Amino acid sequence: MNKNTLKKIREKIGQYYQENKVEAPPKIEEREFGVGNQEKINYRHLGLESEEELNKYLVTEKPRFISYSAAYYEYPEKRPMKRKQYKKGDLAFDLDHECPHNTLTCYQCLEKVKQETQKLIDNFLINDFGYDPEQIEINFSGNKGYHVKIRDPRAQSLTEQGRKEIVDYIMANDLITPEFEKNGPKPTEKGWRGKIAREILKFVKQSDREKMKELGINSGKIKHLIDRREQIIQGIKKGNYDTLPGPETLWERVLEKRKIQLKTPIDHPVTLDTSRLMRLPDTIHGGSSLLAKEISREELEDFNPFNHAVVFGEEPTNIKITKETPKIHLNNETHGPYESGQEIETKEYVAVFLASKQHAKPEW
Amino acid sequence: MDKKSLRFCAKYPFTEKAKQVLKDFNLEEVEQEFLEETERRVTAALTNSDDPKKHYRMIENAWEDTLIKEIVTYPLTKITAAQAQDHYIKQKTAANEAKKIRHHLEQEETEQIEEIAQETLDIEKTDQSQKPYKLPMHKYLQKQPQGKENKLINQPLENGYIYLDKNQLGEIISSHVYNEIKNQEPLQNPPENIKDIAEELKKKRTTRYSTSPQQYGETEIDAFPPCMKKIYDDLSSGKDVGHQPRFVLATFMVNIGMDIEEMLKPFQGQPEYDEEKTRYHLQHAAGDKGGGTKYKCPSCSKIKTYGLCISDCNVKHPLGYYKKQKKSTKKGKNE
Repeated sequence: MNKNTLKKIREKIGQYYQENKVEAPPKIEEREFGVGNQEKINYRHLGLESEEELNKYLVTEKPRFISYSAAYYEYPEKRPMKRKQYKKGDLAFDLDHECPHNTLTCYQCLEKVKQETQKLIDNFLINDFGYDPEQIEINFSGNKGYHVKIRDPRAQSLTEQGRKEIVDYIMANDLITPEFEKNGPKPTEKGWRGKIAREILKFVKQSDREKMKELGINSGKIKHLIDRREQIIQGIKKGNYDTLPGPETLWERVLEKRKIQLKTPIDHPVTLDTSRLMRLPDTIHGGSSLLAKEISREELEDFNPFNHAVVFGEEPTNIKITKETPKIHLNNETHGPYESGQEIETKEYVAVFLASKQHAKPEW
Repeated sequence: MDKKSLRFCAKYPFTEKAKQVLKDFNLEEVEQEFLEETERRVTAALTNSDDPKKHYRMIENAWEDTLIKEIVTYPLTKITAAQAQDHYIKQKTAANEAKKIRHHLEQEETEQIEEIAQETLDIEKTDQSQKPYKLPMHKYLQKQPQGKENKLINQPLENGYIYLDKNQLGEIISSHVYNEIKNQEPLQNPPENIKDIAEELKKKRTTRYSTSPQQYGETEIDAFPPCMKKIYDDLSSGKDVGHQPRFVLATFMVNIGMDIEEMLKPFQGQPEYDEEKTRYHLQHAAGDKGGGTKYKCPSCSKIKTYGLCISDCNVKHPLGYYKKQKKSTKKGKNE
């Protein structure tokens, strides 16, 4: 990012921090911080003692990015890592999605990540692992996804091996495929066997000819499935898969398809390696100008970052477009498209957004 | 303590009950007989010569003093194995003791198993006949037995509890013993006699399990496992390769004893190649820079979790694959 753009954006960020106090993460004095202007992290091994020091730092230094460790250390500032003396670490998940679409505000992709986040929280963290919803912290990452952290002391003291087991559970790694015979998995069973049975049951109950075809099931089998649907459903409920046509080939295909849907595209190194730094909630992501807003599970339901994480105002602000820019959707309004070279006066939040995305040069 | 209780303690010397027997025991004044039995116990583990069935019969027929010897030599065995400061000795000893206990638990009454499980695992009873016990997930993760079937993903897990049958309890208890021995740290000031045995054992231990890099000889890129070969080739051909795979490849190359110049080669294909930086990172992985720790090459299961596994090679560790592959190409050349 060129010097002038960076300077102008950091001024805006500094103004925001002057007017808005950022809440410190629990045990701030035991966390390692990392900050960056050109890159997400240019400097790490920083320590901040208190909420007051954090806010002072944000106002004076105006970092474009600030992250902190899931880990808690005796000496967060010491280096190399070993000398920090690791104490424990929040169990953290980073969910995001590379957007393949030609847009800067892809609601569709973020909605997809949101659904995966909800699935992670409801089906895995609460239902299977039994974590208390009160101890699950959720925040928008500020750009492409969501972060979820668990503050349960039992989760915080998990070893790397334990964290790996959790990741494998969520991502369906090393799952032993059940035998689909008379004693197959029942929908009422716990763990993955139950999940599989419920997915198959759902498929048999809901799928029409088209969906079955999509899975590559041949027409003879489709006919059998539809004709004897009720009998098959009753069988699956008892864990009996004998009435299913060609379970080996057919159900493996169904399973493959369903398995992916139950998987969560988490960025697993973050979960395994507690020394990774993650965006500090309620700070600005300087690559988008959006707030990495902390939200509750209920708020997540209707959360749309392009409306709810916009923090800048509406004052007329000048920019010069430097890259061809498709339409953007922010604050329930549509702006653009813009041609490269166009000089425009727009609302402050649009100007800072486009400058942060490096699609415009500030002329404010 | 009556003979029946002593027998229980001899079979399960890690329990609170057995610790009662050990209360008055002083590590500094160990009888010669006990020391000899300790040495035998660790040696048996290294030579795979303990038979759990025979051990069980021995305990069933033993007199009191033999039972006490069994009980006392358990902590001695544990300490001695740790004192040798040799991963292999500790691991073999842990596996041997756990194996015996696993066998004894299979012969055990339900009540006794439950008593041990309550003490070591924190289990609760359920009202289900097939899975009558439940164990908090976090406890399970601390004591999880090895093997794919014991992975968390293959357990009936609900609301933070894993549901178990009697057989699994036995397995987890023996895994608990395995961990207890494996996690034993050497004493700060060990008694001389224990130190002597540990030294003796270390000398005896075969060297064929040594993992010094020299054993791999000259580097053969073609003998790399598919996952490493892919990262190597991707790097060489200038593809965008993430930090994680780069690091994994670096640890692999370090561990097969490649020198820095050899290791630099694939990175030279990268458009943003910076020799100085790369050299620094590789030296860091080798433990010559930074923290000074030589990084271990991750196992296949870790590589799978990282999403870097691309083939089913039927090995547990990339280094194992490389070793096997090198051996077979060598054979091929000689024939």
